[in-house]
Amino acid sequence: MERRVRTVPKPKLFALFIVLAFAAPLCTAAATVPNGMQLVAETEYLSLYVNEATTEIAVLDKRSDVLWHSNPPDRDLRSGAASETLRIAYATPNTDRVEMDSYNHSVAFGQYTIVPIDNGVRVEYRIGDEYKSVKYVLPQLISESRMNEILSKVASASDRRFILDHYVLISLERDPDLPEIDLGRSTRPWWKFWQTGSRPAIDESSVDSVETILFGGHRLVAKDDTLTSRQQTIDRLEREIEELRKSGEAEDSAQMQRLLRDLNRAVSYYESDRAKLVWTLVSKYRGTIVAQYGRVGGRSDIQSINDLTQDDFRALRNSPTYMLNTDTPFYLADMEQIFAEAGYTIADMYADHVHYRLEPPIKSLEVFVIPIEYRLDGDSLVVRIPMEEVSYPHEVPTEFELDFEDPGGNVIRYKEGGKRQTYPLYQIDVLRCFGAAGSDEEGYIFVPDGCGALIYLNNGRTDYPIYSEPIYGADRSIPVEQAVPYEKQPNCLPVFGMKKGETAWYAVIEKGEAVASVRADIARTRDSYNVVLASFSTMSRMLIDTGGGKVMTYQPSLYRGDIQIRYFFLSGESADYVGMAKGYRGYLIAKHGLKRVDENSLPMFVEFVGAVTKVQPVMGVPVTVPVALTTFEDATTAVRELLGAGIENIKVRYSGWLSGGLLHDFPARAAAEKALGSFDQFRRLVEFLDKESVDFFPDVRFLEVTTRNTVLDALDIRRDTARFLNGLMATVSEYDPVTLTPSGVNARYILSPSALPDLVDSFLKDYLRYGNKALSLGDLGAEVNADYHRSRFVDRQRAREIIEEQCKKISQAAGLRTLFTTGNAYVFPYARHIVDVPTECTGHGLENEAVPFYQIVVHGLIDFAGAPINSVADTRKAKLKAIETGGGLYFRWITGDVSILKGTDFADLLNVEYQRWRDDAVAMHLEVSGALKPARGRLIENHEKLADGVYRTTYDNGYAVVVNYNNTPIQVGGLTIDAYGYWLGMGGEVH
Amino acid sequence: MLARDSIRCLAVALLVAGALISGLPASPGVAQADPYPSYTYDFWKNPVPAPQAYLPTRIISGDDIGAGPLNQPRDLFVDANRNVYIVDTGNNRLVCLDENWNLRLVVSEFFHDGQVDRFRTPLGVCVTDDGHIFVADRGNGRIVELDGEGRFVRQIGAPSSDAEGLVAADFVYRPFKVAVDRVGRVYVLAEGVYDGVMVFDLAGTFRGFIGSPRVKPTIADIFWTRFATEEQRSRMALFLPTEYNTIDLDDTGFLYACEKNQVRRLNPAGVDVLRRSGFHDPVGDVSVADQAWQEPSYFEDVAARESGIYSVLDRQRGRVFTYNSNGELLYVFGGIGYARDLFSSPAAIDSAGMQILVLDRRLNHVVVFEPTAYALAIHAALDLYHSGRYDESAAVWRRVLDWNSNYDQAYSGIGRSQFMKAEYTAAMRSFRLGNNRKGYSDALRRYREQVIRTNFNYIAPGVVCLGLAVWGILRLRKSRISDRSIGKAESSLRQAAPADTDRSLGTRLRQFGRGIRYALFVVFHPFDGFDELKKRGKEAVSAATAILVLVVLTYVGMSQYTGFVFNTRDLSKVNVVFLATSVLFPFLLWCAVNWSLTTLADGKGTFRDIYVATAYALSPIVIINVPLTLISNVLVQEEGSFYYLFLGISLAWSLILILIAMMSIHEYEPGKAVWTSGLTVVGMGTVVYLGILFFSVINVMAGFVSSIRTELILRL
Repeated sequence: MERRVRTVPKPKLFALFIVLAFAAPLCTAAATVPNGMQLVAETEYLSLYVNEATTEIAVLDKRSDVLWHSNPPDRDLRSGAASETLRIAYATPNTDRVEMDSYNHSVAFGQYTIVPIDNGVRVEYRIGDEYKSVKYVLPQLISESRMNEILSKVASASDRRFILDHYVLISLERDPDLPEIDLGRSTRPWWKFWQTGSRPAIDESSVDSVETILFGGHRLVAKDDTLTSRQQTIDRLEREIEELRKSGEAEDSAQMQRLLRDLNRAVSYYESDRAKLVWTLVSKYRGTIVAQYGRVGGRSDIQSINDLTQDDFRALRNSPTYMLNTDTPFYLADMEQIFAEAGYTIADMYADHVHYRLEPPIKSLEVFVIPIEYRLDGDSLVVRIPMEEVSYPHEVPTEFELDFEDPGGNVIRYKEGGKRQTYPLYQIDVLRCFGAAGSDEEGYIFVPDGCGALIYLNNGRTDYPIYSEPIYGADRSIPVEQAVPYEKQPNCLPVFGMKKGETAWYAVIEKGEAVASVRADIARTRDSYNVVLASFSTMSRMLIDTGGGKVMTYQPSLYRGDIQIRYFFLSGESADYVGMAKGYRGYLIAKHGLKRVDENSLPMFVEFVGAVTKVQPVMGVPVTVPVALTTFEDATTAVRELLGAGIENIKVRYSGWLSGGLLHDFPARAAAEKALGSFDQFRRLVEFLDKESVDFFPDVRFLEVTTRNTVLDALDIRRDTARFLNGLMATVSEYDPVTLTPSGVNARYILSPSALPDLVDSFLKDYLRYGNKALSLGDLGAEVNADYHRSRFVDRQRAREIIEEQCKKISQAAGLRTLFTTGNAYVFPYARHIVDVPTECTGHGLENEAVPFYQIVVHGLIDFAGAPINSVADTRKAKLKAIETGGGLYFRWITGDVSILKGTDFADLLNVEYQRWRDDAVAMHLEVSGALKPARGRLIENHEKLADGVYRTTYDNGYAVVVNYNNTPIQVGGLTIDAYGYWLGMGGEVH
Repeated sequence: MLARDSIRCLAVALLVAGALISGLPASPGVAQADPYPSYTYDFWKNPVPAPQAYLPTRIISGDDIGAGPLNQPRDLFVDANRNVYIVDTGNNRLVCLDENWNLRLVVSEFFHDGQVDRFRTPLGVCVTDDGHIFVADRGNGRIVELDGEGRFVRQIGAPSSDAEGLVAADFVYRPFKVAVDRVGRVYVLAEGVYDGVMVFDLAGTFRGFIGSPRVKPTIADIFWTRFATEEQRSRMALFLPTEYNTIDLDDTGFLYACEKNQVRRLNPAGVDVLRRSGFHDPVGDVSVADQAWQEPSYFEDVAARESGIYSVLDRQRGRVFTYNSNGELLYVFGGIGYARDLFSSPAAIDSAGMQILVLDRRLNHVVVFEPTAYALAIHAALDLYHSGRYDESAAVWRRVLDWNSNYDQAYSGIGRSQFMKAEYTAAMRSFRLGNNRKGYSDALRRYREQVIRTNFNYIAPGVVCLGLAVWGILRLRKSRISDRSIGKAESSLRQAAPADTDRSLGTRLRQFGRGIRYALFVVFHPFDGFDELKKRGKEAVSAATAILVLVVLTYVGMSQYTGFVFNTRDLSKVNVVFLATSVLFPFLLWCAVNWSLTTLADGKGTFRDIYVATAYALSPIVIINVPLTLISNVLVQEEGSFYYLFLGISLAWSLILILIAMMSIHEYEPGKAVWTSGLTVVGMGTVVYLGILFFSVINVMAGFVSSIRTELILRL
């Protein structure tokens, strides 16, 4: 039996809060120990405090004397909002979403423990009211001695009187007038007696019936003021009648008659009051019958009064007992308060109720145990949830029986064979309100959407929903029935943060980021807050149509890897998104030892699309045939032309060269597409590029496998493909642009992460024979997909680790130079180049501005380029973007006739004709590479917005670039920049 | 006109720039990813990828313009001077902005007969060239005319109920859209009015309705009216046309009106003169227009643009479709979603020069779209073409193709220019790529003429020689046939019979050839032919099978090799198995059903007889359609009747042969042959029906079992 501690009674808690609320602004300013908090850890830069009453934490940044709170200190403490450190969402058998938080459903019930750990503190929450069914911690029946014991601890006399006013002292005394029917200690239900005829049913209108059958011939005797006065009246009347009789008054005299009438009336009053008490007592066991609800309260193991036995009331015999005599919530709450102050706990209540065989407090099943650890590590705060120790109700039995005879005192016994229940814990929001900004503060939220985006605090866009997007994009093993009508940019970096006035913080999700989403919201009402947080999807779920209805299905087990977030704090000059980016860059350099790029000229990324498949009628039979778009020979010629045009540093990506074209066959072998030329021609291409020292990146995709497979492929569909939660093989296809539903075009299986290592090994073994020392990885840096197979389930975090291992294998063990696309953060240590880097944000309704956060992080460390220039609507903007962020230009071309693509499933390759692009591309590249020459291998020092559409980027050698995206010339700092123009120069200021 | 000129200048600029890569105006502010790649529709109603034609560049909310937040605005109008008028319905006011989005005027109250008057739920606005503002004041049941400064001029109330008896007495007048033409006629849409657009004259007097589409009865309607009582018929006649959603006037005084996914262009007499010569009617999303399980587009508003181009706003999927004056889809953009530049509940659209403005009534803002270089090029090409500068237009169409190689109209546009330059083969190729059958046909005709003219010296003698040769062969054959009487033919066949024992390949091939040749005889002498056929041995079966195979091949060949003008199939989806099945299945079904029927009806023919005779009866299909398919490649659209006539002849001939075959093999009277054949067709229908029923029952059962299985797996 666990102790239920309501450490701080509620009214007093409020009082404490009020003090805190007044004190909080003061302590932020003074930066002394915050009120109500205790110092638990300290480093050179930071101090960590915890409030043991609310479990909120605060971190003092000693460098700037700024105090960061896990919960806004000025929050409305009465409502309990914004007071939590954790918020969870889970499902019950009836609803798909129930939310609870660590304050209102754990701290408020005193269900937490705080333990100091090495350089920090650990708080363990039991979220969910453990005694949901218990409304007030008050004994319904309590023995006189125990009551006195409690009363002795109550200081105030008026409180004592208040309690005694609502308890009545009763006991069951042997009444010689009543027949004693002792039916032994049997607890058999009443109908057995009925059958044997030994026990009559209780007459619900007769107190005698109850007293005879249930109390075993005992009468309820009460020490109650009313009853006592009625007793006195009866005694007086009897005395007077006796005296009258003695005085020889005739029995039918008027006065005698009057007295007898009075006596009768007094007796009936007395009996009716006593009957009320009897029924009150019985209702403690049987419950009260309320018209619309049926039976309320009482013992859950009995159905009606006839199920009760004499044993249930035996403890009351001849022992004075206090019985609770009120059910007015107002009184009950006050009494509970007094009892709690006197040290009465739920354990005491349990003991009292078990003693009298009343319903003991039953523990609720919907309780989730979640520990959270806060540690200081140098200049950062590390928050960790050890998921191994998290528990949720999984297959717990729900049916129980009460056994008051149990020798071990184990009164509540759950039935193992009965119905079982699971409450899947599918979401944990960590430190939702950390550093939250109020509705009057200025600054912005940084979210890693695409290149990075800012949400201005309190921007008033309440027509739009909350921002919530997964890190590394969506898990494709969870099917999407309806796409959105815009291209979602992925969250490549597990970073988010907030700037508030002159201070800022940011956080890096170190562990569990692949199951995390970044959520951000503005203050929608006056008393809410601008927040940004990491939310973890601990169980993936999917709505499955069974034909007869839809069932929500959850992943087979909880995510058991760690969750770890590292918070950093900034102030002054560096308290902005550039400071965050630089901080994160420093973190990456320190963690992975990233090196500066060593090539002196800006690379030009050129992708040739080798072949695609097309359905053609051959003799009236539709056959899928490969169609060459850029043959090996053509690619050679094109590169020679580009070299001839004076381009120094070309990176050639060659997609669609593998057998099967762009959506190539299962890459267990590295067989080149025959439609593009012979093996020798491919070898010659490799040799030519090698001779010209042009890096050649043939492209391969591992994570999605075309469904156009034959039995001859090495692909074992049952073993190698991932599954959806409904058990079907996970497939993706393109979306119909009209209805935005899956169209079935270019359908692919999703490869199971567990099949990935073997596939990569097998491919590499075959690929290395070409002697080419570089490889483009079309999707390893762009997507992470789980496998929800029932038996070989691989969660998304594990999938991400497997992918990272493959990247390591390719770049280090096989020694290949790599080119990734999109570039999720985990490929940074292995990536030499990244193309298709997001240069913009999704444009979610809440977002105000896109910032080149990603580019600031990687510039100088990894060469990158944005989306292919061909695919963007405005090439001038794309070129300016490259100049602004120091990226290369990326072209996707085919040398063949573009009208071949018409009517194929690859008709979305638009504007890709090499012949038309060549001269423009060369000119564009020479312009951009010239402009960025001094920035090669340099880190970005600063990035500012000088005016609308005018940005300045400064490098660590002082080189600065100012770009103007406007269609009109702009005057900035005495400098005129043309429409779509830019300014280059040294020095931080524009003169 | 000014707009037209500017477009032309732009087009020239585009050409001069030559290597131009993009011409997009500025879009400072949030750098956002391009919205979802756009699409256009190909000939077969498939959406195919297309680049973005318009990009959102600005979002204008009430706060941005200093007028305070808008509340459920419902209409938007851009006048000739590019001033923007927004009906802020929830705030009962009218907000006017100048072309640079500066607040010019807010009308929330005005003096009317010396008293302060206000709008009550105003829904529509229209501004004349002289700056007078007409507001559809729904709550007050009137059209309010204000001058350019927002002063009250007059109001036009409800139409008097006695006018032509068109307006019911208990009618509550709730106008929601208004348009005013050059001469001052006021067009009004009102709720609950199903008769079309209400027209008020200069003096504000109600003049009646225009644009109520005539009810066109379908065949089914006509059929049912024959059985209906007088009362029912009178009720049927009252088919009500649905009410229009929106109207807009173009600069030539034509009125665009939309209902559901239909657009009409009404001339002043109220007749719909919208051209619908694109691949598909202008109904928005065509791929979902006729599918029961998907919502078709629903046009919330229309914007008439220069040179007959118009844009419609679909509120179903938040898309803007733009069509040219021929009803060809130019481009599609927009969508519904939570991204900043998508719509939530788009309510109104209008164009300001090349800009497009969309008003969102839920997000309470206006999204301003600017054309990309791609859209500019499309407009420029159209404009150049309309002004007769075909070469320049073709050059711009080539630029369009650079961006979008799926753009059929660009191919057509290039084709037209090549056609004008008499480059007919190139034009044919372009039209073919552009799926333009009309253009292809025209080019083909010219090409044909050209070929004939240049090669007349060879063709004329060639034709004469060919004619002579054919005549000679026919004469020779005739004499041979006349030599050999039918009786001889019979005897020769009988003589062949003993050769059955000779199993050598050569003999069998000879028999086979003879069987095929015999088909020619049957075709022209059906009565004798079929009688004889019945007596023939096994070789007839193999010959019949061969004919059947030829029919299948002809069918396949027709679907693949028929001239482009007459072949509207998507050749990449031609499937021989499907085609063959669609011939063989009905054929075999016919044989089986006919056999089972005639067995009961004293038919003498065996299954083998039916099979052989039916196959032989189909030989005209081969005989006529093979040359017809070849010839169709040189026919033009105007000669289509010739093509279809021969197609018809081949079918009719086969049908007649089948009837004759029935008579002869079953030894039926002509009447009996006809009704057994008819019954056979009914029987075939029944078999197909039962088959479908059977399979659907099986399907339902399988679905039931599998759903139980999934449920078991999931719940246990």
